[in-house]
Amino acid sequence: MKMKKLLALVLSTTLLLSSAACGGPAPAPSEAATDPVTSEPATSADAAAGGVELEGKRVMLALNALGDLSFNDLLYQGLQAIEKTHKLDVEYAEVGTDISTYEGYFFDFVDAGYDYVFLRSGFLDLCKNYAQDYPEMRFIVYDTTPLDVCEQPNVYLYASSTYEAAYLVGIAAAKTSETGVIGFVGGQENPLINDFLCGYIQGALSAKEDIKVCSAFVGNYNDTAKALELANMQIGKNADIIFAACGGASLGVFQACKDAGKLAIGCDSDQYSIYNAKGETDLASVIMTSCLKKIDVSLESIMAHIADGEDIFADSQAASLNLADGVVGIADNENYQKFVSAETQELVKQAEEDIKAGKVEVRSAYFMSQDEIDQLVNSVTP
Amino acid sequence: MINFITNFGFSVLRLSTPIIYAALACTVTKKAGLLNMSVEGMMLCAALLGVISSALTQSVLLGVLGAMLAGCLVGALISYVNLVGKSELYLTCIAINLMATGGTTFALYMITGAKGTTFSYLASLAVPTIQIPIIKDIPLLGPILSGHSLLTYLAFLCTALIWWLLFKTRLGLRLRSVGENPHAAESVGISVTRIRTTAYLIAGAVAGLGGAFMSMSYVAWFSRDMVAGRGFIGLSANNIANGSPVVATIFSMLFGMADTVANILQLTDAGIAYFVKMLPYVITIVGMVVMSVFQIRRRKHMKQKAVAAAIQEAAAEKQT
Repeated sequence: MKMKKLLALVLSTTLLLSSAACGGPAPAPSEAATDPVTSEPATSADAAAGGVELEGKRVMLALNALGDLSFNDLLYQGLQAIEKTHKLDVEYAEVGTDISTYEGYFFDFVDAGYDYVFLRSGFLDLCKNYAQDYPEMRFIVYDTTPLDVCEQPNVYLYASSTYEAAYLVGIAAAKTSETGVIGFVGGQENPLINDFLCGYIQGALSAKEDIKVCSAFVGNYNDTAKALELANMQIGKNADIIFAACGGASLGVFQACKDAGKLAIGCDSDQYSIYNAKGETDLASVIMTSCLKKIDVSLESIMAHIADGEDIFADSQAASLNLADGVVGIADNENYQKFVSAETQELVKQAEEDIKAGKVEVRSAYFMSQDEIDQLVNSVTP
Repeated sequence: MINFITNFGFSVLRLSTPIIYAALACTVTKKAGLLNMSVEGMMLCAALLGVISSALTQSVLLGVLGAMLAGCLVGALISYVNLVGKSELYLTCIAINLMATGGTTFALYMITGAKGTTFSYLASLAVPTIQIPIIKDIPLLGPILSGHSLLTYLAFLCTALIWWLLFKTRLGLRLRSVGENPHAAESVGISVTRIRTTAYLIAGAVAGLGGAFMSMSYVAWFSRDMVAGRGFIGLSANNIANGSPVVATIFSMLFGMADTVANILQLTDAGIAYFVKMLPYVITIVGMVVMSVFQIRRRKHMKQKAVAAAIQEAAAEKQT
């Protein structure tokens, strides 16, 4: 039965894969598997070795679905990058968003005996419950919240401090706006999106005290028409730069901005460069910059830490990878150079240095109460 | 302020358009005695095929026709499964909706290799917007009524067409009689299966226009699950209207208006926005209760009348 499941998984991955990620050479005997790993994190094999030979290790990346020109495609890029640098044997699985199916995937992964498994945050509970049964495996859960905790010695959680990048984007938007009103269209009203919004508002306020920020939420990440409608409303309220943090629905915001001759800000990946590369120069031309969550960089940095023999798995609290780690940032491209003045660019750079040095403290929505968030949002509502 | 009103009015019309198509598609089948729960799936399939056919042929007309064809195909599938295969209609419709969600994404992937959107993969076209010559210069009303997509104007034309079809044509008469009493219709030689299949095909074509509006007018690409419940809202508009195309259109616009108000309120107070968003559904429930209370009363009234008539008749008979 298990074999059958595995076979099905392998077959379906093969089917979905274009080329590189599958059918690699058989994995070298896993080092971690031969070393008995005790449950004490401090003395785990990785740390004792003082550097881990990663060549030939098998890595599984569980992502939602490829082709979103954003987060998931970036993850895949990260996977390809670590495959190259560390000569890993990588595979990926598209697990979708239905958490009820994750248990099946989880046990397929452990049956296949990967050395390192990158998982969506939906897998967190499974890791909490079952990770200790597979001490030779390492589980890395990406894009959790900074509040998440997992006590298992072979599980590493990390969040991306996107509010810091949103802060920089907020500065650029507030300084570039001619009307003094900027907009924000989010996907769902949840801590993840609020984190963007709060950082954005704080950044905007730091650059311009009397800035007004319209904010609205689509309610999902698919409804492009709704996103377009909401962006139009904000444009009607004089917003001339709109930050679109609503996944696939962001296209609606870009369309609205294009129709009205306003500017937009992308999210997660450098959407200007991506659309430009795809030949969609029309829509790309309105994307002033993007608030980057460089999830591909995070994969690389984590594998680098592991290769250096750092025992990142010792921490039970989720790590926050931030500006200083290079995991988040603001997209610097032709449009950014074109629309954002040199003076503002300098300001953004200064803020970036200040945040890295700890001179400026940006608050994350995860560590704010709903009242505080509401207060912040209402204080800038036009 | 004037700017705000025109924006609002324009938005209402645009938001209502897909709901009107959905409601009309439901009206046709409702009159034939069948609830069309699969209108959401019809629209989704149509949205995708509209994009594909307009990208392949580089013709807007063929794109829209492709969308209508997709709706018709889904309608044909439902009528085959339901009328020939004798399956449970609601289950069929639910299955069709689920199939449309997965199937369109699958088709999207097979054609473009992407699973999110056809944007940047298929060069599909948009239905042109129309500036109405004289009306566009009227202050206040002009900017609200003019400048919409051709499909928005067609939606209102469709309302009239469906009304004419249902109440002024032979097909409409047969369709209604099948809906009122299929056995009686069958006894006078009307093929219930054929009439209902026709109703589903018409509904599919109308829903197809709604799908085309989503992917060829609002925006010029298909993205996964882009219909996002508008079909179901149309279905409830039709339920309140109880089979009247005109009332269905009015309620669709009411729902479109509630949506617009919710969008605007989000900019000022998110809490109230959620309340307003709930309103269409509350209206639906209340409306349906009111509707059925009226119907029960009417039936009671007719029964009383019949009884009274019978008594009178009996009395008259006694006298003679």
